[in-house]
Amino acid sequence: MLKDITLGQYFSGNSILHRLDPRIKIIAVLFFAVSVFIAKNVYSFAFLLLSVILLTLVSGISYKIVLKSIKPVLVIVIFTAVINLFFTKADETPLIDWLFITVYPRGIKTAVFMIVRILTLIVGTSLILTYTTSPIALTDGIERLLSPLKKIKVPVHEFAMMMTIALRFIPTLLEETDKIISAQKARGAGFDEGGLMKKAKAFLPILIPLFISAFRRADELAVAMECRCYRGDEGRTRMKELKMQGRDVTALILAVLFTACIIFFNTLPTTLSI
Amino acid sequence: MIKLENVSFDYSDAEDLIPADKVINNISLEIEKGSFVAILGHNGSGKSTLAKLFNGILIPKSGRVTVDGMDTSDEDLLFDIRRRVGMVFQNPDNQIVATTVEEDVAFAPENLGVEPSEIRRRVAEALETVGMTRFRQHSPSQLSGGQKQRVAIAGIIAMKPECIIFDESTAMLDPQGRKEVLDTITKLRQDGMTVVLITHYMNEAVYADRVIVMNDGNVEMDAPPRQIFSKVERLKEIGLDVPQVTELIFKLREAGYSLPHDLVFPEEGAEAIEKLILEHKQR
Amino acid sequence: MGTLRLEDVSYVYSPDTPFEKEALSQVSIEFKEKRTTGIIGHTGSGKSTVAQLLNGLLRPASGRVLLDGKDIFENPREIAKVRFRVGLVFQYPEYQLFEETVFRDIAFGPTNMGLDEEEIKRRVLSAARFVGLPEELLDKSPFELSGGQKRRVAIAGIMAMEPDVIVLDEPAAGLDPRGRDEIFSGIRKWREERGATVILISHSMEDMAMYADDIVVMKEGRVLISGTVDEVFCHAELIETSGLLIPQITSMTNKLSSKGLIDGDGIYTVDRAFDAITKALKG
Repeated sequence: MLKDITLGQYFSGNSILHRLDPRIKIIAVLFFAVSVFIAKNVYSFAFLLLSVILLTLVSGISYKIVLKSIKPVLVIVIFTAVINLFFTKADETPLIDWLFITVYPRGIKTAVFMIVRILTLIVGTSLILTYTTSPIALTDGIERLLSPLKKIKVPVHEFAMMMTIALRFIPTLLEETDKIISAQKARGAGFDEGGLMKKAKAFLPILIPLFISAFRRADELAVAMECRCYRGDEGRTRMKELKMQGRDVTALILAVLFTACIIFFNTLPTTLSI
Repeated sequence: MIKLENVSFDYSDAEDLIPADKVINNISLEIEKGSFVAILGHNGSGKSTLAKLFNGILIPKSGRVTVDGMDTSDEDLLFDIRRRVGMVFQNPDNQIVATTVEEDVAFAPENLGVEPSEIRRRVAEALETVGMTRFRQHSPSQLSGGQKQRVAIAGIIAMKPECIIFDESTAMLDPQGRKEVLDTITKLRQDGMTVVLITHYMNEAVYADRVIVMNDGNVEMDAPPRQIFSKVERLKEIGLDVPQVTELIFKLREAGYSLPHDLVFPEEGAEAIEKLILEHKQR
Repeated sequence: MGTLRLEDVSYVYSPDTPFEKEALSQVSIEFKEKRTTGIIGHTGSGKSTVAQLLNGLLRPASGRVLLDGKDIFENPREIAKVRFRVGLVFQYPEYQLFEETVFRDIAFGPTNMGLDEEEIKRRVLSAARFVGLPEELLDKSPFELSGGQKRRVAIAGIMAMEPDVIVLDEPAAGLDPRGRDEIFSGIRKWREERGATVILISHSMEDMAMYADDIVVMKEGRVLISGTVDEVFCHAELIETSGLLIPQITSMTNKLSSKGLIDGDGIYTVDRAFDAITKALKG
């Protein structure tokens, strides 16, 4: 069913990763992503892998859940690995040279590194951000990181509010879509017959009620928000103040150090590099 | 605290496709501070329109509505009016803004610019009042209808209003959810909150001090529940349900048995009938 | 034609995930032909799951759903035909309307059945008559109608498929007493004239007492009690343990009869209570 789809799912908890300031986490993720992309030899990749394992332990999230997050990208990972394995050409003796298949040692190296690169990127960003930061804290973090833009009249608060409401209503609307699909099926609607035009037309009985309902919800929500004295950013305070604490500063330093380490490891001499 | 003077309203120039016969017809009334008023009526009687006039969601076409002396037609005053008169709506899903319970309850105080530490205190207190403290980290989609509605109520309590209007807040709930909301209202009453309850369930109105029955945009009756409930025939005529025990007593009285006419609680009815039977047995 | 039977049916939501939840376990229910059966239970008792199993929207994890003795999933490709024979009206069905006119919306089901125009027209008009929709509304947009009228359009849309069995999930939810009575009496008329089987899903014991012949009480995915309305109402205490509210009149008369003041257990209408009490008073 549709509602089984999880979008950047948050697992509540109380680990140090959970408690970090979302702004710091956003910045740290940027450092992390850059590090993943500049890593180029066995030492830096090993360091990446090690840090991701460490992050998993620190987050307190079960390794099973973490492994599950890999599932959706598995196809991409395998595809990338296969491409690199078979299509990397190098000036060396191929390990396998059978019919039209040639595999060079360099291909194997690249394939392995690519796997590590994609997996650490996915798992690392999930652990630092989506798994350990509630969507609302994330939106909050983004709003505050971008708040200097308010000076040049960028509606940062409004965008953040839109994000929050979208996040809030995604599960509701997915559930509603499920319900409408079932209801139209009960009236004999078929969704998988006929050509493209016919198929597109078959979705009208779902889309129209869904849009009408979404507009009605939006309308009611707007009134409810006004009744709770919402008037945009004006004079608004927040329950959860974002205050930089010692641990946030430490985390930021660690993030910078992390990237520095990757750069350092990259310079170590080894034949196992790309 | 809320005062309506010769208020009329219709939807004739609204862009929405709401039928224009949903009108308010020259109504004057006052909601006293600290009172518990139930507004009854069938769908389309004008009861929800009336409620939306109370806090300036709708502005009267003629006449005026004032909240603590502030005219709702003055847009500059709306902010102050709405912080005094909170409103809980029918659909629990469409009034929760945030992705966690506690963030949602904090929404109104945040809009009011309350200090963060004070917001936290108010949120904790409001969640305690509605009995949802245990769920403060939950996402709204994990809650039942009654629970969501309690969160919505907490969101209003945290605003510290003087009055809360419940606009058919029980209509979409199952019996369990309805009970949860009504229990919460009882609790708010104990704390001295002014409550206006809009409903089409007669048995929700028994605890009110005053019942206003709406019909076709007019105030049909305005009296304490005991007087309202004795008018069984008229209530049925205008499409309202009379509680079963009230109807039974009405029928027994019609058949000539002497029973008080102003019983509203089922327990009272049961006692009166029990007494009646015992008396007959002794004879 | 039109007997439906659940035979040891179990159903699990989100199997093999951390959210796995058994909604039904080993449920057997027989819905008798040409009768109205009420399925009643607290939210989460599994009653809505039963509704979707009956017309093959959900497939049992184990057990069978039999329509006139044949497993509805015997030939999964023919499941659409089962849905035309077992019509299902969802809760708040007005949210599924989408056509430009009321007529075309009601005609959606019959059109999907591949009927000719003449027959579709006949069915639409007949269905509209049953739910009390005046003919002049048929050319209007369904979105111009009032909430109660939309509900009727949606129910007519299922009736127009002329199913042998119609399943309605809370058809009166959110309606006022008058709207509720109109919907239920339309359904009753339809059953009588078409000789069809009706299954009502509800959490209101009072509605079921008024409109059902048989009742199945569900609790936590199992059948708690089933039987005729009279039989089921004799188990008031058991029903209350399932989180349902028994009608006011039942709890009152039960109290009187347990004290030996009146005769009769499981009274559920005002008229019967009146008879029992007057009998006691005269006797």
